[in-house]
Amino acid sequence: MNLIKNIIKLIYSFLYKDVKTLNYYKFHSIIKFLFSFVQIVIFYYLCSIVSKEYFKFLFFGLFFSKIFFFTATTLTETIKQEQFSQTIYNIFSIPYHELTILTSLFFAKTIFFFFELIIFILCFILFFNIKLSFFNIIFLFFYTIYIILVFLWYTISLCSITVLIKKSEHFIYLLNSLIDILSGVYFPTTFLPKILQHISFCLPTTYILSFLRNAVLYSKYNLTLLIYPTIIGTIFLPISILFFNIILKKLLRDGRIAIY
Amino acid sequence: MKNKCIIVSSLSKNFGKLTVFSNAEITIEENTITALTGKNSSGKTTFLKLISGFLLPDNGKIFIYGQDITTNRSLSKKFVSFAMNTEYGFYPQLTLKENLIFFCKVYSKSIDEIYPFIDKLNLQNFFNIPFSLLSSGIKTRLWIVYSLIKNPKIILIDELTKSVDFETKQMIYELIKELKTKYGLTILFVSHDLTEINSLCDHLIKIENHKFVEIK
Repeated sequence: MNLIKNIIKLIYSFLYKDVKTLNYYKFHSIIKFLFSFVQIVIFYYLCSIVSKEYFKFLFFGLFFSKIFFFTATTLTETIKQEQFSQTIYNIFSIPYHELTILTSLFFAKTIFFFFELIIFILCFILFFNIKLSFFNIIFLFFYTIYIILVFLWYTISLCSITVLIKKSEHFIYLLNSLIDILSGVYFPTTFLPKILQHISFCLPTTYILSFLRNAVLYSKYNLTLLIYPTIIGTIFLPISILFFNIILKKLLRDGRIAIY
Repeated sequence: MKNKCIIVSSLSKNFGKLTVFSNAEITIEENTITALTGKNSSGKTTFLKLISGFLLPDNGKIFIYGQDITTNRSLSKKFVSFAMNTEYGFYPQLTLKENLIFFCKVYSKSIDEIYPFIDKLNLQNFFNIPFSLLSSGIKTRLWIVYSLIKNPKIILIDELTKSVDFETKQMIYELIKELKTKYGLTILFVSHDLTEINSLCDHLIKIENHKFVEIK
């Protein structure tokens, strides 16, 4: 109970810091939004060559990809920024475990991400003729939370790798892009060569995306699809925490915690 | 007889082939001002980082108030504050005031509670300036105020008056003396300035040949 209270207090503090930083970079936020919008416009016209149904298929693929990319990279990006500004010393001086501090930072950024997602969905509804019921929007909200929680192990693992080997952005981008393709973000996995379909079959992301499309496009809630990703998420979370602690101890011994 | 607040026993630390400490031992008493001196690269900042928990020793133990911080780092986070000698360390886009408010929120404090220190170091006039635009001297003052936010029992200061003018130096000296007498804090600072050492400290420790030597 005390831990949750502390995390909420930390999230609130980091939110204050993020709001102030966002205010400083407000122009950047607008450009970032415009960039995403232009990308979607390109996708929209490309999809119109195929069919309207394909755009709907792609929309939920991109929606999932956005959440997955956020979950995968936020912690890594955050720790990188803290290392650059050397604020990591002051942040890690806070009398909680480093992972508690980083998780709070992550959740503070998640609150901003939800606003970004709302704008993303609104754009699709207003400009790209995607019809979503109120129930669907509520479903998407809770499903986003589920995706973030189920892949917490992934973000903690990537964060550990980044602080250890440094400069891992391109590795992470490559990995995420491959996962996107193999999970069926852009096209159905049945179009993949047989060998890649086997890999796709093993990825929890494939099932999560499949459940999402079935639920929103066809109102089919096949919960068995979520068993595998939930099991993977539950098993790998403590392993990723253990991995993080081992890496942290190594960095504290080497004195490289603040170096990027 | 004062209580011992920091006990370092058989401390060894190497960075690759470079030996910084080898079986080093030292005890620091509570509510004292101790200066730490030594040649460049002798391990002064390394020692501060070891006490603050940013670095783990290869061998040996560091006890703070009787508890080993090499196995339980949360203790050093709770009791120790570190004012570093760096141009960075705060959010560059945020103003001095916003940086302080952020850390006050983290430690569940209001900025009013640390206002006496802000006032003492004359920081109010720089409240609305982004951290990245502050001069080195103001940044040093900010580090000192920051280090007091979490109500520490021990304050570590790395070359506190390196880049400050004479007037600021006097302000900082006065505050440090007050922190010891009025607030009962233990202060450990790195310095090469003999005048500073003589006017401020109760004890002087020199790092020599990978060991601590008590001079005063």
